[in-house]
Amino acid sequence: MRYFYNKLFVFGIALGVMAVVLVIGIGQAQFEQEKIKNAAMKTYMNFYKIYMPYNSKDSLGFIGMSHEQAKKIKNETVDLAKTSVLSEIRLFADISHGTEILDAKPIMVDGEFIEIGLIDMVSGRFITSEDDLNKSNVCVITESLFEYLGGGDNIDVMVGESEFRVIGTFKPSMSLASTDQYMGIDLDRAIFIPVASAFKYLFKEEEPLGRMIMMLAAKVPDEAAFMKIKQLLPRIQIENKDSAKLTIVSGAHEIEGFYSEQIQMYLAIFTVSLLVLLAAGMNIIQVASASVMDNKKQIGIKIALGATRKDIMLEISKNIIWCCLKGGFIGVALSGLIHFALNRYLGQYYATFNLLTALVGVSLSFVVGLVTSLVPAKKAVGFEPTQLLRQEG
Amino acid sequence: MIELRSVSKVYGEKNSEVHALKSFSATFQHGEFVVIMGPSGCGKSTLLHIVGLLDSLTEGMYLLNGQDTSSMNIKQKAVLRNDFFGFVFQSFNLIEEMTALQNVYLPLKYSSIPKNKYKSKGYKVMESVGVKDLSDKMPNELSGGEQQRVAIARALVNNPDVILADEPTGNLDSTTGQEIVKLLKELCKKEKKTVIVVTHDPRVAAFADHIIQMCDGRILETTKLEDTCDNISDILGFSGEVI
Repeated sequence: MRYFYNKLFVFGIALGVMAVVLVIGIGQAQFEQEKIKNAAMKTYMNFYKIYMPYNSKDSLGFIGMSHEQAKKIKNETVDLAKTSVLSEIRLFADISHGTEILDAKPIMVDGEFIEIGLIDMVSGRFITSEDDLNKSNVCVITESLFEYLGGGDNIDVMVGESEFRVIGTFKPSMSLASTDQYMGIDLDRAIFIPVASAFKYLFKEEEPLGRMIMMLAAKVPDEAAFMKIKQLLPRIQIENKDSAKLTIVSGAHEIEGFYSEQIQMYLAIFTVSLLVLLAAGMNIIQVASASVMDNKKQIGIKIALGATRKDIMLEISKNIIWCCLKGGFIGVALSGLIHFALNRYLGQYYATFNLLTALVGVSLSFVVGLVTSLVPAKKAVGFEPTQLLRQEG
Repeated sequence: MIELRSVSKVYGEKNSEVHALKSFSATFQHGEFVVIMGPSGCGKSTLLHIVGLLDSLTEGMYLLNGQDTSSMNIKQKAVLRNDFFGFVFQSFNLIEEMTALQNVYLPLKYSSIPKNKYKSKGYKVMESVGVKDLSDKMPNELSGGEQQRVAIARALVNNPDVILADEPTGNLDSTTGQEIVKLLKELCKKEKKTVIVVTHDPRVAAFADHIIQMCDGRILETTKLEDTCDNISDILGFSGEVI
């Protein structure tokens, strides 16, 4: 009978440890994958600055949304803030006039860009929504470039292979002058052209594609606007600490949020592991208690031979811990096989099996043995020795 | 010397009290072969358990070499059970999972004797009771007589002063039983150990120096004999071989 108890014991622990090691291994693999994702995400953010806000004294920009998304934000914040869209895509097309290549760079904007107050027009007009909608071949250049080109009416510049008519000239405002590389845009060399036109003539696309910059005018710090932007751009945290100024929390906070998600995931895995251990522990207590009841006489004999309560408790604990350790080793070996099978047949990194998981498995079996042995050990020393000696068998 | 003064033992609650011993008084001298006899349920085993410090008494006084046992704590009693007393049981009570040798040196594990001496002491005592060759056998591979010899070796391994035997021949045939009693008598004679045997077998009494007849927890009759085992055989109407 004792043989049966021992085997049952070891088997129960082996199953428990196997389950725990599997859960930990899968969790570890998940964590590794999340780490890889996280690293990739950081790199991606560094390169593309997903929804990365650009704060300046007077305005705010978010890079990293589609044209459709940007338009949606514009539509939904039309009564709350002045908004505009720029294309982030860098145009490397040559800007030329006649045979001369000009030191200028095209910037794609929509009709509302002028409304956010960054541009001081000197002459003519800025690009309107109609220009954008009609995909007109028009552009706005700096006053200095205009003068360089000799001024006058009907000046055309070539952007790549397409001709754009100059409809106005501008002077970079003070605020823009303070950030001359504003959002990566050198405004002193800028040539503004409608977003839709640029895509149509330069990229041969009917609709603008790629990442857009959403612009907000700082002069309209409506809290509702922040809330709406926050809702529409979930990966950005906006805090309106000071209603006179836009305050953005992003990037690092996003990473922090990601880590807090990971912590939650680990807590969930830990809880599952604990439940598995608890079930295994209950099993041990039951089996060990039954074993103690079955071994009453033996305990009585040992007491008669001079064993103290402490000796009996130690013996029982040692037996249970040893059984648990045996179960632990078997469980670790079984989980190793399952990990191997998972990774071999289901693909890499479904489950991690390494020295850490093995050590965790064996340590857990030891701790479970130690804790669960207390109940049967205590039970054993509570018996009256004379009663134990009268037991049959 | 073991001295019991008006010892009583009561089991159970007030409404269902069982008086196992009633004002029992006796003195067992060093080197005596004491036989306690009586019908089943007369309190023989209870007396043995009290003497062996496995059970406590309800009333009276138990003096062990002049020391009142009621003042001893659990640990002190365990130490005495380990090195002052040796127990021999009717059903041998060997641990099934252990070899004969492991069973024999089991009491040493609860003593202060170093671990590296367990085996040598075990072999030595097994040799003295004639079972050295059985050291590697498991209990279920041994006959009843062999098991009881191994049990006696276990009782002797710590060189106790007193051997307490509870029906040591109860599970043995008469020849083997007699051999076991002879062995106990030999220990008593040669090694000057006090042997207290509880039995209802009158043939065991033939070897006694001191016989106590019990009934209902009381002493019915006490007989002390200086020499004559033959005399006691006559008294009890038994004419078996005696040493």
